[in-house]
Amino acid sequence: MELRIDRVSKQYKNKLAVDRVSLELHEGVYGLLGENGAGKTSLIRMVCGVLRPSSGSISFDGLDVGDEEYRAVLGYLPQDFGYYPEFSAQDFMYYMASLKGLNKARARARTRELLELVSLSDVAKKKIKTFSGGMKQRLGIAQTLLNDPKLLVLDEPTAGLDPKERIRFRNLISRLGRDRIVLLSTHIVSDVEHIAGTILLMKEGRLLQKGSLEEVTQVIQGKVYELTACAERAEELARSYVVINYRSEGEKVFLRFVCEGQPPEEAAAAPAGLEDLYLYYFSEAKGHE
Amino acid sequence: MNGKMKMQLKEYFEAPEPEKKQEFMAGLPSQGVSIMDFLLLQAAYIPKWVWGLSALIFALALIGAGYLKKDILWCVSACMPLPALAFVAESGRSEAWGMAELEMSSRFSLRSVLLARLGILGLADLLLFFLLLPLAYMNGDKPLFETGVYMLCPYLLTVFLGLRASRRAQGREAAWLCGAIALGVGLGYILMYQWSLEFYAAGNFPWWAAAFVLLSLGTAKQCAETLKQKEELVWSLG
Amino acid sequence: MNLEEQYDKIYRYCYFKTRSRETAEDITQEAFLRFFENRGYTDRGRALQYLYTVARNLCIDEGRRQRAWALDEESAGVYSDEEMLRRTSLKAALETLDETDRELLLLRYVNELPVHIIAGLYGISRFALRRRLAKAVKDLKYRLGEEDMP
Repeated sequence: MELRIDRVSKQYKNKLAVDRVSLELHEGVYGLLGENGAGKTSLIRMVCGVLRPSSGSISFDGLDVGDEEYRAVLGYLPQDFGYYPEFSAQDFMYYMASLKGLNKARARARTRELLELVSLSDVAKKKIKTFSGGMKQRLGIAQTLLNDPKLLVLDEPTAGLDPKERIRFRNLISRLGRDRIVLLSTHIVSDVEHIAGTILLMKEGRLLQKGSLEEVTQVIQGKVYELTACAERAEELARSYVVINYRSEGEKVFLRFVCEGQPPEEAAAAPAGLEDLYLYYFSEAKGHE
Repeated sequence: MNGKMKMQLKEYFEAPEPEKKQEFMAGLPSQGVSIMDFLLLQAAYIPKWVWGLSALIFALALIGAGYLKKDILWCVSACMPLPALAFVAESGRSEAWGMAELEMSSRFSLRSVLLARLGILGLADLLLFFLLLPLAYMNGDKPLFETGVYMLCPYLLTVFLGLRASRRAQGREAAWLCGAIALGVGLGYILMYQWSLEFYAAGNFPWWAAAFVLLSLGTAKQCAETLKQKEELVWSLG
Repeated sequence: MNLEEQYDKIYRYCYFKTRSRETAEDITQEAFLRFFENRGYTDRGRALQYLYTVARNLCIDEGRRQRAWALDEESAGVYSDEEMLRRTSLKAALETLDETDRELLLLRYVNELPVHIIAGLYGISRFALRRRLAKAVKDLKYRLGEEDMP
């Protein structure tokens, strides 16, 4: 299986949202990490055929993104989605099934299966407008799997899910990623950390990095430090370095930060994680590119 | 190659009965939907009030024909913007309820969904038109063709303006605008008829005919543009 | 696409090529399984192309595996003398044709495959295909005409 994104760009009137991104994805779970901005969602939408690239091409196993057969193997969960009024969970699933080309019998079978999977079986006949955010999100996830897609694209899928639901979701995605291409776009670092096999970092429309957790955090390994100091010293340091965590502990302040060169004496090195990397790239503090 | 030879060929190429066919067939994943199934499914998703509206108009026309006599023509014509409004509303339903993105990325994309629904609605409206036409004709004093043209013009005008409006505006705004257009066309009709008895005068018919042709072409173009617009998300900047 | 109908047609085609009921059925089923595996939801045109391509390739592979094919007897059936005569004369006429011509006749006139799909299968133009088919039919008629002469 191969999803090929070839020098794809998206130009809006006064903004270049996606800048010549090229990627080749195979089976597994990919985490697209980046700020809440135009880049990620625009790229996601182009992969799902909802937005047309200004330049470049996207294809899956030789199928161009514009082909009906491409959409036939695609499952997409948009960041925001609605539902026709008066639809129950089951109605919604049946409707999406009809759009995905499933016949009635198959639609019924899959709906039953999938609502069970996301624990919505007991509210299948209830109207969606009575659902909580998490329930609606689970319904959204369920509909993506109706046509047993080979390419699963999820935009901010864990929004609104409580911790337990989030864990169940992660397990589900890990299972699905074994024989599918799963592309997750999110700004929740811990989601990516726990399930993505490959991390894709996007900033200002460009792909900054692509690799496993270790590969990607290589950039800041050995540059993350921690110390505890008095408030004034902490303020002083906070102005010079990218701060990852600033926490008051009584009269002192705990500081975790990134330092490129020589660290202050009292600082102790700490192993770098994905969150550190994220803040390093995406915070607006001084002293960072 | 005639039928007889085909039969003979078929005999020659005959193969012994397959033995494991039924077993295999039973085990296969079931098939997808055919185009007909798709159309029927989509028809079911057209809101019920739309059908109710058409039925209501028809019923009123039936009843009214007896009382209004030849005035029935402009009454019916003034009502035509309503099914037209329903038609336009249907074109914007997906966006209105936030379903557009999901529909666009499905196998049968938003475009086909819309094409199916508008096609069905269009046919339904055409049926309504053919049911109302005899009523208007028989009670009126105009030739059949002219009666038809007089009835279709307000419908086409509403659809033409409505589709244009729903592409320029969005959501609530578009809904109000379309409603206003329908109301405007309907009222406009009634008022013009009251003010000017010349409205339906025979001499003016060429104007109507020309308007009919222009509006037909214009409406067809607007439909095409609307469908084209649904191919990708236009209003996203995020 | 009527699955059952297509199953029969593909099976008939495979039987023609492999001359073995069992092998033909296995290949037919394999072709359908692959079809569902890869493109369960494609539209009719591409589906047929895919199915026949897979079936044909599998038959060719099978042929390579067993060089010697025993010609199957006609399937069970009791025919009148007249029918027998007619059948044998058609058989004789057909067997004067090229193997490929017979295959083309099967695909076009018995399985009723559209011209563009057959052309795609063999990698020839529709024009060349039509010409070849016309010639095969003409030859056949000629042979049969000959036979029917008192």
